[in-house]
Amino acid sequence: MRPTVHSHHRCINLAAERLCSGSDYAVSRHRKARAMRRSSVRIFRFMLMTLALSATSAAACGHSNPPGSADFPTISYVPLPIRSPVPLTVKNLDAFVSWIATMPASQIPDVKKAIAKARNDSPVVDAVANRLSFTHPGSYDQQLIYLSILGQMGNPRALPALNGYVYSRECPVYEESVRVTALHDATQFDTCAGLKSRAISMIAFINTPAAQNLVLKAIEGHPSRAVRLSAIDAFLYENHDSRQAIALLVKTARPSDKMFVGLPRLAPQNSLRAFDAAVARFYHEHPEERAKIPKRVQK
Amino acid sequence: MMRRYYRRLSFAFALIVGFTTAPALACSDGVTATELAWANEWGPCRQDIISYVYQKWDMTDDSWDPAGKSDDCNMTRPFAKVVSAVVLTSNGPHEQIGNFHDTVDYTAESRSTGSPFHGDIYLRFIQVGASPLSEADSETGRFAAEDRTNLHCPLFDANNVSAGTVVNRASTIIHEAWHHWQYAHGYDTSHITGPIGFCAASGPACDNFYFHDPNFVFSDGNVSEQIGMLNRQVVVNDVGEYFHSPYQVQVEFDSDMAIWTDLIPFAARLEAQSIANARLQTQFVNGAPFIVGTPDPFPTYAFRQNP
Repeated sequence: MRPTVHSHHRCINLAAERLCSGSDYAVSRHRKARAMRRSSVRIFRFMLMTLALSATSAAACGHSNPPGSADFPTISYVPLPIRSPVPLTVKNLDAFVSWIATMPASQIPDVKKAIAKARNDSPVVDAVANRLSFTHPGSYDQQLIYLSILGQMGNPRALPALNGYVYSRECPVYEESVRVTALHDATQFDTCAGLKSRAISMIAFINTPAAQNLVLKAIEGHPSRAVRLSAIDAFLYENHDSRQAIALLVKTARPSDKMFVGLPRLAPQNSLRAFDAAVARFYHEHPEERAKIPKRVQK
Repeated sequence: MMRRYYRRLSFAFALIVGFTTAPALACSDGVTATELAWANEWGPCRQDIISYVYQKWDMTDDSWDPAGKSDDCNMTRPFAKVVSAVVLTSNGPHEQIGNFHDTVDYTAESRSTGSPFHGDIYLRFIQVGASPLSEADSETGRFAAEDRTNLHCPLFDANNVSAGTVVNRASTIIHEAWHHWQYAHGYDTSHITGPIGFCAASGPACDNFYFHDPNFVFSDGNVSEQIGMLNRQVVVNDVGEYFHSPYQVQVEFDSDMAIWTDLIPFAARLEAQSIANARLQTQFVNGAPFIVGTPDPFPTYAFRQNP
């Protein structure tokens, strides 16, 4: 069971935090002190009260939970609402995207049905494709959803827009960026590579001969390693990881990418034992990719 | 008279300070439908949860004042977004088989105070880091001062291409906490400077990947998914040695969220998968030996509820 301890401090309430920091409290005490200035008895009482209150707030501000306890407050989650399917039309596009953005994964079959009905609706394809943008993306999530819709539609009409997105100069991937060395460590993320990788996977999913050519071109020549490896993975997936497809990609891929042709996918529908065996095979063939544990340093 | 003079002086001083510390780049406030859907599942205005996160993740620093600290239910502001990300962290896979680690480990590791993984730290909100693309950084071994983690605008931004998404925010807090783990255990806390090997990132933003199987079995019979096993280190496994780098623990969390966490919106799982794969392919010096999920438009994820 998830450990749930209900204790939390009064003082950690944001409103009560002012009591801990003493700002409001100090102001009100100051006014009272002026009123009681002429009475030593009152001053004495006031001092006693102040001491008592200070002690109370200090105790409330302390840490009482044992270190390392996973004592998250109990949360009664409200499950994501199962909404009635929204038809995919030009007029409904925002509502359709909003549905996907907020639904649980259990509604994926409903989404696929709605997309299948609009598959040959060119204005819908164009409307979704027009939303692909690095300058007005909405958000990372939204761009992923537009890409998923286009991929699932499987309509070749989307290919020029998707391919333009993959090579867009508006969002340079790490390999195309001006090298600026940061002064110190900082977590970064190549958002452009993330979105472009998704776009090439959707091209592969469309899976017409033209789409396959675009994927092979990306495997050969896209500047981003992330896009190339995603293209390799998606091409193989669409070709059921066949030996012929693997042989073709071993010929097509850049020399530095060849070892990543046929990487195992960590997915719930795949056997964990087969996944472990495939990774072990990778390291057996490429022992140089095993990293060595760093040595400890003196503080 | 003097009092009035001092008031004017302090007002002028405040003006000067206000102008000179004006941000070079403001965060783009806003909230996505996915983030809001997630927040509505747990709150988003539960003061007991907000207060708990405020204290345990130590967001008491003044830097949170302009980031929505006094507007803690407002999901468009960074303060509330951190709280939501922390709640998300506590909802990863739990007592399951096949994931990398238990959500209790991720949560305990990411928290700032009372963590079994590292000493006490605190979180700051600093709009711009070492570069405009910096999501976060950590300061360890500070002289006569508490160590800390700084979170930057790209983790919160809406309406641009940064991954200011709830899963990426949660996993980045985990990543930064791992730097404090490194410090606590005597390892160098800095990243490897790229581009180098298979890491395409420019500057100190690369790590090694020390792969271990999901469901890795230790010699004492424990498995990596069990509570406490994230904290183990330097154990020989079948493909090398059991160890974690900051980007690695981040990717393992993203992968677990994508595949195993049925409670969160589908779009959040899709974003977790996308970000995990992009990091695997751009931020590791050695080649990462797997891909997270399948390249379907609407991938199949596990339908499992935590016990």
